[in-house]
Amino acid sequence: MISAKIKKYFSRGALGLLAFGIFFVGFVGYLHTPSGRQLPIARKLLTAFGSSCPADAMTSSDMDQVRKFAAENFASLPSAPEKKVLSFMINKSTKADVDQWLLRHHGKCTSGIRGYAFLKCQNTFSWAGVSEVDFSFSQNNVLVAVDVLRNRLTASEASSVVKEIFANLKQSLGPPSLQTGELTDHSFRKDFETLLVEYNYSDYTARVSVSVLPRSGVAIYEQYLSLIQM
Amino acid sequence: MKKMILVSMFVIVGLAMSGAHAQDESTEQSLFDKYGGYPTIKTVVNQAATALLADPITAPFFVVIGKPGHDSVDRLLSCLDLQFSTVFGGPYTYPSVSHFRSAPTQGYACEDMKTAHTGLKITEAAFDRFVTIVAGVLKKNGVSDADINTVAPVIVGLKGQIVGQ
Repeated sequence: MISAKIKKYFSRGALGLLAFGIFFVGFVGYLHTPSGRQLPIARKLLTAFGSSCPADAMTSSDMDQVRKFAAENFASLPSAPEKKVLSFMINKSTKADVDQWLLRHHGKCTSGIRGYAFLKCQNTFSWAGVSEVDFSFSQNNVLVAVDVLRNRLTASEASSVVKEIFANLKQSLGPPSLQTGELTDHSFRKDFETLLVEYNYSDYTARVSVSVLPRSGVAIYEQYLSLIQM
Repeated sequence: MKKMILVSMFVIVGLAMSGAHAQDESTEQSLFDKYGGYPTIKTVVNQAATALLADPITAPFFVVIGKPGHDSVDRLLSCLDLQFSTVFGGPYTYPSVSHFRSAPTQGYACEDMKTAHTGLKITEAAFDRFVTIVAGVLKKNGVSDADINTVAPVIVGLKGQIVGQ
């Protein structure tokens, strides 16, 4: 008699759990669909249910796939004569080379993996206005990208930094593939005044974007990117 | 009587002036039209996407692209087309349904900025990068600094909905 009652309660409980499980899986599945994502609380619920930031879950092959889409736009161009950045060669220098260099320059960086392994060095260098330097590495620990972000610069600081960056690029790669805007003594005085220089090749792109951001000064973003899948 | 004539004249002149002003406003060319309409917007979006996707630092924010149940590259670009067309004063609203690119008959439903960026943990530095890249791409496509200064604040105004969600 007692065991029959226990069985009854147990089976009701199991049924309830199963129903909840099915509902939960279905609901979380729905939140992942385009219409589910329209719910204002969809992302918050997914985070609460343990779904991490999708950027953290990226694999190196995901990264290759996304970058391949971008690299296809450069496929018809000639290859780069050189891929020099700071003291490194993109596609040749290794993570060990970068680690040694950071040791010499007292760089304090955090490491992680988001598709590719990276080193993120924030507010660690005393170069003018540098707020972040990022190094990215292929699966074989070869350097594939260097990004340098400088922000909160004054117009005169920005002019002298940009002059130096342009001179270095010209020395190693010659005239740019594209330059918009001229660097003068009066540059970077107005909000959103913008300057762009690009060196584009089939296997490499170097790109310097400069813009005056309101209330935060001049931002300079340097991207030195391998376009080879390694 | 004189007073009535004077008042009537003021009213007529006032109406004429407001009519002329309204006509000025309606004939004023939008930046969307000034820069060649959708073909220019499409080029800007393609070039900005290329710069963001080629970079291992910004590419992870687009990781879900092409995966089942998530954005396809086409949907992302289509929604960006709609957003940039709207920002440039084109005859669109954002968020709404985009029919650009290879959108299905019913179009792509484009999310508001807050929903689209929730959970991505986008930092202020990442946002500055994005704005700098977009400003560079606009300049590359012949948009003057003065006009960048008109449209970029709209994008910068979305910062609160994008950063730290």
